[in-house]
Amino acid sequence: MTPLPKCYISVHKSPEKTISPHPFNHLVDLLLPTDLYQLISNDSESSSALSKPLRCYRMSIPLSVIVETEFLTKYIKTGNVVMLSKGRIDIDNVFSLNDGILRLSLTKEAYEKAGLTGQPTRFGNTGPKKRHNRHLVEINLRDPAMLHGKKGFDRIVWSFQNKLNKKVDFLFCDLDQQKSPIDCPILAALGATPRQIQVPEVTASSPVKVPSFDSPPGSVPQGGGTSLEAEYNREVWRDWAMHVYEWLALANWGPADRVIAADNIDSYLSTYAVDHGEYEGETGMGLTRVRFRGMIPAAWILEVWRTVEKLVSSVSVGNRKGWFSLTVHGFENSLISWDKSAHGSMTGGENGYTLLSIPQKDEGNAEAAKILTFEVVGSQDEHS
Amino acid sequence: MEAEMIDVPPQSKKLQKSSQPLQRITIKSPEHSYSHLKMTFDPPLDPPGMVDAITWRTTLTNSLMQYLGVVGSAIRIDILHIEGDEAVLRLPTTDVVKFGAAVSGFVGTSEGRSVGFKTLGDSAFLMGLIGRAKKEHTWNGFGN
Repeated sequence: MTPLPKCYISVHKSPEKTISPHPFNHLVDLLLPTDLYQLISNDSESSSALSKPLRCYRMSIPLSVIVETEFLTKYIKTGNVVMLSKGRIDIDNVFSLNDGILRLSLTKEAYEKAGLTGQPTRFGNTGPKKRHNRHLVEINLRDPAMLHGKKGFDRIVWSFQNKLNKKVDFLFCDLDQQKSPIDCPILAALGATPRQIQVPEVTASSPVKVPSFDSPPGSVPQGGGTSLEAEYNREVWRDWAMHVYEWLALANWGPADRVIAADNIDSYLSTYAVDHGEYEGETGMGLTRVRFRGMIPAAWILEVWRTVEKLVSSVSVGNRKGWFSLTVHGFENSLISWDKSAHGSMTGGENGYTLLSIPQKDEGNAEAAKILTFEVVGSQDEHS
Repeated sequence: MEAEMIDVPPQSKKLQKSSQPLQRITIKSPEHSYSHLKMTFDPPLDPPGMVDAITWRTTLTNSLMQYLGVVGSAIRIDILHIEGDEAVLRLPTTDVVKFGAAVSGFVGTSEGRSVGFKTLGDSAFLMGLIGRAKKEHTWNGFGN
């Protein structure tokens, strides 16, 4: 049986620990009540970190460009970039670069031709007879030995120039560009086409039904022992958390028909129902989704989260502080998901996370907001 | 036997500073799975229109009936969202394999057109489908 995808739900996990180690992101959705968005939108647009231009690039280059002296020095040795090539992981040759480490996921044929040292990949080797069909080559380009003139490095250069010499489509994002947002001649010479990341797509929805963000009384995520009652309490919490997660996905989907307050579909067609929460009121609540696309650096996402968190903490809607959520989708074909966890695709390569900040009623408590983290990985992923 | 509790995972020093302990659970076999389907017509609908929920329901029931008989038609499918000729469906995880086989092999007729399904994605978690549905946009949309 094929392994199943997994969802990890954490309470009180520091957002930084989820956001920072996840380098390859292509879609970021910020979802919050429209009332709240209107209160903070002016401030968030003018916030220094988010208003500076941030670009990612698409370019078609052979691998050898990466090891050319100029590029290597500017973007890898002294700078920091993330790059990911187009292609299907498990089938094509896929290359990625982050934190100075170049990873090549190669087919058997390409691996044998390239003549570089690697190991069998963790995933994608399930062919007949369990032969090793794919290999992963990891090169730390920041290593002091990675210089032109050194034997090992020249071997890599030769391989890139003569064997893995086909042009590859890359997405590229410079992580240092917020410090110096000047157009780079190296990229211009490579024919890279830029794309602005920080221009979001803002969608305000008609009123939707919102579930309760407070877990049912008595329910707990963990603990309580092995008694039936404790088992029941954990079950209730799990169901609640999955309900909230499902709802967040539906709300991010446009929102989906079934969560719109005016929806009255026959139960023959759908039995989905939102568990009523205290936010809802009679008419439901308008939501705003702010969507960013492109190759989005993790550091920038963290900045978005912190900015919104700060702005939200200073305003309150009605008698309670507002909630907001941030969903990030990783590239399906990335070689790694979080940190160094190998990533594959097979039936679905989803890797992404959702953070939900839930304000608590207790205003006296400084750490009032509770953060719920949902991390999803497909069946082929080492992240745990 | 003394019940050993696995309450709180080992914490790093940093975490212990915060007053609230980290709690974490893993969901491996959720109750529901989700499927993102596109209904295809031959010859194509002109103009490409909205396929309504009733049409989805009847066509899906037909496909499940054709492949699995009465057992198939009893699979509980919730239509969560419809956008043009695409729909997001929710079904019990235990029926995913049967469902997938039934819709991928289905050819039916509707008002003189042959009807089929194209699977755009399926996942045990609805959020996973969003990222997959939008991936192509990342590669396009450059140059502005």
